[in-house]
Amino acid sequence: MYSQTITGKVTSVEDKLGIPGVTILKKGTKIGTITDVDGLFSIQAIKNDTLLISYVGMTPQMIVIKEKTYLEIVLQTLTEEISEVVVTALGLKRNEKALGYAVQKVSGDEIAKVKELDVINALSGKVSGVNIIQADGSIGGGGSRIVIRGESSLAGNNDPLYIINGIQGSANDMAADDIESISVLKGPAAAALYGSKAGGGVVIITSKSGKGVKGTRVEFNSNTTFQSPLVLPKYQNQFGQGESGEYSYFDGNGNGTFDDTYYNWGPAFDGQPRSQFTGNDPWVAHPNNVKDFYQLGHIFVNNVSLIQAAEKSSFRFSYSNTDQKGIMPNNGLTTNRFDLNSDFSVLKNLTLHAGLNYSRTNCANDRQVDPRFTPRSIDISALKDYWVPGMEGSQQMNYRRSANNPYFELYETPNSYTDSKVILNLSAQYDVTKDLTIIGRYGNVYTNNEYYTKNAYSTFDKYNPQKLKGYYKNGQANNVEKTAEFLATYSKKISAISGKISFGGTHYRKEYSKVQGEITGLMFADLYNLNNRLNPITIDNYISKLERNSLYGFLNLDYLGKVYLDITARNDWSSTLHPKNNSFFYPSFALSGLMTEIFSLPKVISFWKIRGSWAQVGKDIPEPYFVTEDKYDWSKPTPTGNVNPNPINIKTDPYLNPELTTGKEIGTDLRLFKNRLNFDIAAYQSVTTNQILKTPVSNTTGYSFFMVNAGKIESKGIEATINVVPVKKKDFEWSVQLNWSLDRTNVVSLIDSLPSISKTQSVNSYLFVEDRVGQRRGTFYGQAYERTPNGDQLFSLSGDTRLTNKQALGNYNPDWMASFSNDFRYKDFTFSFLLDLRYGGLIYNETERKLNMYGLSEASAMNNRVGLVPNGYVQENGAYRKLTLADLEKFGKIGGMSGQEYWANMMEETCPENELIDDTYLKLREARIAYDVPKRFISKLKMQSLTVALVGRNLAVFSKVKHIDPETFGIASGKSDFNYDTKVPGYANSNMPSVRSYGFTLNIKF
Amino acid sequence: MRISRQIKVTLIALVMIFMAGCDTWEPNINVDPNNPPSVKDSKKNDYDPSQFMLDMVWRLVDGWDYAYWNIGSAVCEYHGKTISLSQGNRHQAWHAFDDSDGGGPWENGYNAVRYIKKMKTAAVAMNDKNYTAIANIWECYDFFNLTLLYGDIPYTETLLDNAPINPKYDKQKDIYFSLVSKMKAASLMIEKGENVNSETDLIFGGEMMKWKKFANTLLIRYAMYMSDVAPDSTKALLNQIISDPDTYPVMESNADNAYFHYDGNQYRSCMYSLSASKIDEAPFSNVFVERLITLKDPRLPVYARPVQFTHSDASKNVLPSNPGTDKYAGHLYGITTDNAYASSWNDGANYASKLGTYFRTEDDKGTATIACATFPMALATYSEMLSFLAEASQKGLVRYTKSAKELYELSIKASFDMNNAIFTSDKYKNAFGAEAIANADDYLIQPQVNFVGGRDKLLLIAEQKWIASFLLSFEPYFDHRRTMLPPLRASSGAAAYVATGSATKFPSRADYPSSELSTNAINVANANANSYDIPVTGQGDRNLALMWLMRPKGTSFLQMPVFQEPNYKAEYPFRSGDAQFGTGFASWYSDNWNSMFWWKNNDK
Repeated sequence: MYSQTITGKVTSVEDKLGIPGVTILKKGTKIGTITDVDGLFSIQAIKNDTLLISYVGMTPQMIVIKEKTYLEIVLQTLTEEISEVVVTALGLKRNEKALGYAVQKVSGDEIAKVKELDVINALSGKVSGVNIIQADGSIGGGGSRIVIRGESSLAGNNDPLYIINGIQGSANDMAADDIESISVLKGPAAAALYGSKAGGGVVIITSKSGKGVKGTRVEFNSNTTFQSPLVLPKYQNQFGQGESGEYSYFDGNGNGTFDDTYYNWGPAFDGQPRSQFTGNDPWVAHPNNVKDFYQLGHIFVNNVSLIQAAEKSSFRFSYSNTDQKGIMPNNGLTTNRFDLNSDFSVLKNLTLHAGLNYSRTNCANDRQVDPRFTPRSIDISALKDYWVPGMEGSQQMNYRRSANNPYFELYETPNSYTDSKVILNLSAQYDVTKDLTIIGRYGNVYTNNEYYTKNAYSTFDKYNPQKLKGYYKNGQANNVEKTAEFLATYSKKISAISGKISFGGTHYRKEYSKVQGEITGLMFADLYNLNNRLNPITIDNYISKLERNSLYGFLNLDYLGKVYLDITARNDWSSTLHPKNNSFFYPSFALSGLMTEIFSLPKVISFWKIRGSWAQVGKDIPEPYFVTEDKYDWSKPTPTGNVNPNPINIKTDPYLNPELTTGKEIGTDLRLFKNRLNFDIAAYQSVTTNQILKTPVSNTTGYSFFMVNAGKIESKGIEATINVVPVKKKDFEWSVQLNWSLDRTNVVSLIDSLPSISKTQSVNSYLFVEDRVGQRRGTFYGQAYERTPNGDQLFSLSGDTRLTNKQALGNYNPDWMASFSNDFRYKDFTFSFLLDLRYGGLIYNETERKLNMYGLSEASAMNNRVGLVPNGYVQENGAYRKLTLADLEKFGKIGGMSGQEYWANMMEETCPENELIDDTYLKLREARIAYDVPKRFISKLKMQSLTVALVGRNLAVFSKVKHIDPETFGIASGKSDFNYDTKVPGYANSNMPSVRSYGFTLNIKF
Repeated sequence: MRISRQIKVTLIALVMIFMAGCDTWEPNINVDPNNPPSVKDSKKNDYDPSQFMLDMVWRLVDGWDYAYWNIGSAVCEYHGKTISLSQGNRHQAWHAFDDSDGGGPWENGYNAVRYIKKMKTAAVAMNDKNYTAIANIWECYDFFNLTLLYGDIPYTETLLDNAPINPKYDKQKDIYFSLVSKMKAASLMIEKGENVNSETDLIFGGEMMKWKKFANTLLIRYAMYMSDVAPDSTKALLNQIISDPDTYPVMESNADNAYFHYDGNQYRSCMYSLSASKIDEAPFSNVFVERLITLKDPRLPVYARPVQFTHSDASKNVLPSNPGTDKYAGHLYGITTDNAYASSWNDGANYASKLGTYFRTEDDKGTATIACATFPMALATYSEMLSFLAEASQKGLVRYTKSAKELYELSIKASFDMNNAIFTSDKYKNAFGAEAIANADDYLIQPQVNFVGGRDKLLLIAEQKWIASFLLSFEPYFDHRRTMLPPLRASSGAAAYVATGSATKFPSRADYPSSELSTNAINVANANANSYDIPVTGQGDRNLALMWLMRPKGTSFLQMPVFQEPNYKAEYPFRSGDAQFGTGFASWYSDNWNSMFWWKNNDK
């Protein structure tokens, strides 16, 4: 046999282009070659030789030489590798191995498995380095707090940017069932192409389309979950309403004995008749009065989608209906959502995409009340008929007057709204030549929000007594966001290097307007119309417009599939900045090397990549009109209702710059034992300068604050994701994912010319989050207890607590976070669960403070509420000794303190230290058992697949924190510098408990 | 080749299209359509200066009214507090105007500058002399208040168009003379007979003549305040004003009084905001009530309410001493240290007279009714001016058409009038019964009041001014600090607070807010290094750094006579249920009670 020259070309099945660098090896020898830049090769071989053709990420092939001397070899992408295509900035799909930065992807299936109304909650525990604190069990479920890689901004807003199918949107623009994937771009390098919007990271949501489907398919997904409070307080049931052990109802207006108190320091339950709001009834506890107040909530999500694909077109249409019933009576919401995505190949080289999404949410009422502080003696079911008999519509009935009957509040003071949203997304891809592609995109998001608040006659409001005559608010807001962009990409291969250069631009415009009318005092009861008023109407009107333009370009280089280099550059122009100061440039570099390709490594290493990146991104001033130097407020008219301009106490630097984050990141991706054991580890450091700082200044400037660019925040952290597949057999598979992350964000400097200032956010009147130079971000400040040198609490001789000056009390950020998920598959059954662990950080448990102070908690019944002596020390004649009963008696507290005195003393609001507790918790975040009904059972029903599953979320929590879910945040009393509400983690003052969800899902594909 | 041209053309076209789109937004896109334009940006006539007037005035009234009700009245012994003034021990707070950061006189006083500047800019742009004058008068009034309270303060750099982030301190002397000439110039700028927008002027309803009188009347006050340190300037200024009433008209009756007239809605009197417990916490002091009782003063039932309860045994408790059926009593002034001690005295607030219904109307739960939200707050009064002139006459600082005696008596009558204190009212008769005085003239011939009855004339003037000046801003404090008359007493317990307060001395000044140390540290340090009088910024003896106005007097001038404070509990009045109370009360009472009233043991 003569050896002959075999030539050929190796192409990829996807783009039909030649693949350079493919290894061609004669089986059993060391003779081989690699393909050139065009994918061409030549090799000497004889008949019946076997050629092994291999390329990383592609399925290897074996070809036995027969007669042909020219071979056309088409390589398929490895199936396992397909899943590693991730959506990166600008919606570009990239092979994960080529990336020099961390992008973590969560598939739509993962998100839709156990549904949440807030899609972001579904990311909890699935992405490392992302700190999500879920909102409470409120209607709509929205509003979680999400921070990616530390709080880099002091101005109070660390939210990421949300990109929905390429255009700026919000987290919940898509129904969970319509989501194809979510990519989280964590560091500056990943997000660099978003320039001045990328400072908080980017979450890219891509919706499902008809692509990749053959023929027609119908899918039906149904989700039924029920909700109940996850944690409710533990109560004592020995004592009832009142103070000093006394209670007698007369009129609930303070004319009886403590009959208008919210305290539960009344008499012990003795079963004897006593005057109460229900009559002269036995004095007994109502142990379940709080639990019984909540009802079983539900969330029903039904989604049907029709997918059709032909040769030149594909489309997907979906309809989702969400119906929520809250855990509070008379709370609920309905959403209807239509989503249409279609692609057409109009010409050979022109593809059009059109997406249209319409949703309408109707919330009849999301008013919340907090029944958790109801005195133990109150029979809450007796409050259900909330009108005073004979005074229906004009006077509510309650057990005390200086508060509203909770049922009255839920039924007669509703908050309701209707949100409509239309998202239009059009794009066209034109392949000018084989190498040059141009994509154009237009997006338009239109939102209309109409909202009402109604208060019936007799509504009690301490701050607005006029509400006794009713109240009505009606407002409407419209928001239009338009995005137009283009991207031109030119690909070229020059010898061993293949490259892609792109150039694009985005134009963004947002217009918002709001009109709201508000009246206090209705002429006719129960008639809610702005004309039906007793007092002048208050009108609020707000209009805003902003534009942003951006130009960007990037270069992707690939050296033989071994080394990858990405360079990006972006320039932004923003209308929210001063015209002389509105252009900003953001570069990035990312380099990655595939060690497994560059070196010949032992077989156990299936894949090893090392990556590094450097980038700058910014955070634009989010609101227009912010850089106005002198601002006025005219919301307070003159006594006769005329314009009354009020120069506010903040002076703003008109030349403010956006915040600038410079980030560095290194990482490695190591996969062993045929990808059965994978590690992905990243370390990052980022420095954010030009903080937009509302700094307190000397009042002698005539202002209280200057708004300036100053300050430097540094974040450092490590993230690790470990995937293990301990068992992989035909019938049984077990896979494990572990995410772990640690972040330390520190304040490096604030204002150089004012070295001793700090930035203070009031959490409440006595608890503050202060940023001080050299300290960790998120440090609580407040008064603490004075202590002996041994750390015991000090009291005055009369038993009063002794407080220090304001001092650092600890940090709300966790020391580290981890999550642990397990997936088991046995034949057609799968079982999975996800555990979330947060270690360290503090929580201020306002709920517990009140339960103790009001006399509701188990602790408040301690020692039968008599003869209490605070456990601590006193200082007398310079020496420390235990506080004794005799000390108290000297001050008239004969026999010690009563429970009421003791807890009022220990739970004083002025001392936040008393309720700052370690917020470490372990949560069973998710569990699911699913059964894929085998084809043989369902094929008669013309189904392709049928899955039924039992699902649960937030099923259990283990923590030292009492009475509440330790995963919580509160809204600070002080607004952020941009006038937003600030969500403070570790501040538990919510009036709504979080919920446990459980139910079942059904997924059918036809 | 064709391909590459195609590429070039496409790319260039795209870039051109896009570049054209950059920075093409409308020029005014970032001009706020939701709020009024900045004075600087607005066209000349956009701003009527009167639009700034309401809040310009309000800035200085809001917060100050509460500060002088709460702190000033305690320092000047109108109040005998039953609970702490603020946190910490009572006596320390008592002798300090510690300005908690936010909402205190310092912050409000300086925030007012922002409004003043805006109004002045708008007025100057419109060439409106009246509003320019009002802005300048208010600026002077604001800075006089600040420097009188704090001493050396930032002034020149604060008034710059663009104040730096940390304004430097000026010396009080320089500030004082600058304010005097500015005030004079402002008064001269006002054309007689003109009026301005009445709606936004909550002081004089737009009457410019009253503004002019206000300015000149203030000049009399401030001339007298510097009479110790710069007597020649005082004389020159007083004589210039007195001798030329046409150029420098001053107040001529109570109708010219400067009151801030709260509208009761957005601008509410602090009397309305005070909670019932705050009122309980600040009943009148025994010193003030006893003095009004001994003078059979018709202002007693106006200022104060009768006590709710009375004890019955004079050997065990303090009883009201007025002869009428409505009983009035004060709470012991000057109890130091523990809150519990103060509220235990004589069984607390219900046995002492609280703020009268003239100032504050209440419902049956003690909550203020909306009626008192409009109770006007005095800034300068005719009675006060007459009293200054009486003193100036008596001291020979000025030659005036009226004698010191006439001025003194007119001042007392003006005070009766402005407080609606009527000898024939039922309340007055109920207070004094058979001993009630028939009219003002009879009042004036009482030995304790009579200008020629033998008592020291300056003491008489000061004592009557003290009574008349209740709630007249911080003036009773500024005035007492200057004259130390009448000779108010400090309690013996105060001596223990040398380290954290003024001890038994009258406080010479308010503390700078601690925020100044962090936000303006460089200038505080510079001022300290250049012997400005600001080193006292902590809790220490604030009398050490004496402001310019006080220097001729020296710190020893501020030493108050001391009375013996009763010991807790034995020397406190008897309380049922606690045998330890009251065992030593009778002897304390007989030995020490009268020693806190200067007119009893030390009558001049």
